Amino acid sequence: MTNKVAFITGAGRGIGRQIALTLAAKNITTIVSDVNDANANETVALIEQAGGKAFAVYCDVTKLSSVEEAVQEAVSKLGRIDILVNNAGWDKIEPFLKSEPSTWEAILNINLLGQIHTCKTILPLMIENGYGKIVNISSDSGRVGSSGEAVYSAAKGGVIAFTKTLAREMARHKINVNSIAPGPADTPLFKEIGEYNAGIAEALIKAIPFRRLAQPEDIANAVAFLSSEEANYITGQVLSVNGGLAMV
Amino acid sequence: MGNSLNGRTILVTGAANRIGKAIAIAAANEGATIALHYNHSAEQAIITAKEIEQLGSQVACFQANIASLEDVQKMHKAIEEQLGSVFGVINNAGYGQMKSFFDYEPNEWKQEIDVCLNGVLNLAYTFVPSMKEQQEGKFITIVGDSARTGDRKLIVSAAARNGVISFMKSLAQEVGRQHIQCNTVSLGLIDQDDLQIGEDMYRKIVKGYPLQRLGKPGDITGMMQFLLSEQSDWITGQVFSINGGHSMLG
Ligand SMILES: NC(=O)c1ccc[n+]([C@@H]2O[C@H](COP(=O)([O-])OP(=O)(O)OC[C@H]3O[C@@H](n4cnc5c(N)ncnc54)[C@H](OP(=O)(O)O)[C@@H]3O)[C@@H](O)[C@H]2O)c1
Ligand SMILES: NC(=O)c1ccc[n+]([C@@H]2O[C@H](COP(=O)([O-])OP(=O)(O)OC[C@H]3O[C@@H](n4cnc5c(N)ncnc54)[C@H](O)[C@@H]3O)[C@@H](O)[C@H]2O)c1
Repeated sequence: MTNKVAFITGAGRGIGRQIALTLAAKNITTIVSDVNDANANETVALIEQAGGKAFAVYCDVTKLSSVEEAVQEAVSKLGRIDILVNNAGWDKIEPFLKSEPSTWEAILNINLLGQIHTCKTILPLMIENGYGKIVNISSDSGRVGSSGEAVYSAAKGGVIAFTKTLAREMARHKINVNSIAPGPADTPLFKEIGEYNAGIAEALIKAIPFRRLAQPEDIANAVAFLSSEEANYITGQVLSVNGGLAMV
Repeated sequence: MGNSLNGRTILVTGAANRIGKAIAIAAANEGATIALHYNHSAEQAIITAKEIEQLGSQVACFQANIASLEDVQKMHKAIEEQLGSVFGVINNAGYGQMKSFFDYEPNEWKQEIDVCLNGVLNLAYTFVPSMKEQQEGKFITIVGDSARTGDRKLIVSAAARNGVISFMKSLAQEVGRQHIQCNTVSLGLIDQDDLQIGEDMYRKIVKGYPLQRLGKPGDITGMMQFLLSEQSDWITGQVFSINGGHSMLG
């Protein structure tokens, strides 16, 4: 795969950063988008150090106008987008009955509407090019539920259903749409959650057949596979990368 | 040609022809040593082995009826003697009849269950213990999407293979701590130029596939390569469909 261009959301840190690094190592030019410019620039610097090509753009996925601007900037630089990885996401873990509407709104906006915004903006470009690979990051919580993540799991379940329907609508344009559902992964987000949930990492590790959390590489490798030519006949599918924690 | 499987011995069952052959060749292309299993297709197995040799890979053929534990155990011994310990097993061999359940004779369904379900149990029972000793391994099974969705004309093999899916999940839980990955790949209809259906029927079937074509063996090999590689070391107990979008489950 040469000269392909990938747009990755939330690529300033965690899983998104690693997805950008992994795709860049495969000769894919990556557009590193995030709300945190400093982090996005750091990801770009890491990619360049490794000999890859990348650009940072500001993109707040919760705002359609911000997505449109970011995509316009990317396309004016690189001409097109072949791969879209919807990675930006966020959660606050707490019992549903203790959660506040403002938190629900934030969770739904980032995790579900964010992916709807990028797809609405980028799919027309892919259709015009007759080529596209979309990988939506969901979560095992969207497949099997997860205590303390009621609204987040609803958003991620929404991502999965959205993925399947888009896969059906876009198949005629040779665009593949799939989802990766990570299990618990060792990222800044997970550390944040650990700060107000003592012992959560240890408890999860005990329940995972492979007895460790995911590293961002584990998720990024699966994204790289689904966005490659090897996966051309795969669409509308969800792949859990979770060390065996849930088996659907 | 890559080298991601250099020095690894991979057993592919039912690899003399068709999908199994394509998988064996793709693994050989990644540097694997191939244990090529067949049951009745001895001549074709030799031809496939020659093709693999020409790629510069080591290969040997092994006959077994996988429905027989004794046969599988003999094959295991022969492979270890000739090729050393097996890193990965791909359960590709299968047997299914296409007909209504009520057209079966009593017990005629036994053979499908023996090959599709007991065959996988026999291979796991025989090959996974040495993977446990090595503290690594890949155990991969191919099923059809009918195992997940049901299919009135594949009623017995689909049932056997739904059992396989469950077995693979439990096995994944059992051997996770030995760093062995167990995953299932579920296929839609694969066109190998021998479907024997008219053009009208073909068009009708393709309508059910969002990507508007049937599969080909090359659509499967990339996934196999991924699941055999260290890129998938944190993926276990999963079922993954390659089906042009025909069904979208879970
Ligand atoms: N083709 C499709 O559209 C499709 C769709 C969904 C799933 N699948 C599955 O994908 C796999 C490969 O498909 P395929 O079409 O290439 O398969 P296939 O030609 O029907 O069968 C593969 C091999 O299984 C071996 N086999 C059958 N009974 C056996 C036994 N008792 N012991 C040992 N080996 C035995 C045969 O080996 P010998 O020839 O050496 O006897 C045969 O070559 C199968 O498991 C199939 O069920 C296929
Ligand atoms: N870490 C886990 O255990 C885990 C498990 C399952 C699923 N996931 C999912 O994986 C994805 C990545 O998670 P992570 O752990 O790397 O998270 P992270 O918090 O470490 O990184 C997320 C990135 O998204 C960015 N972001 C946040 N809001 C944004 C917005 N409105 N617009 C654009 N970017 C925004 C952040 O700045 C950050 O760089 C998320 O979709 C998450 O839901 C993570």
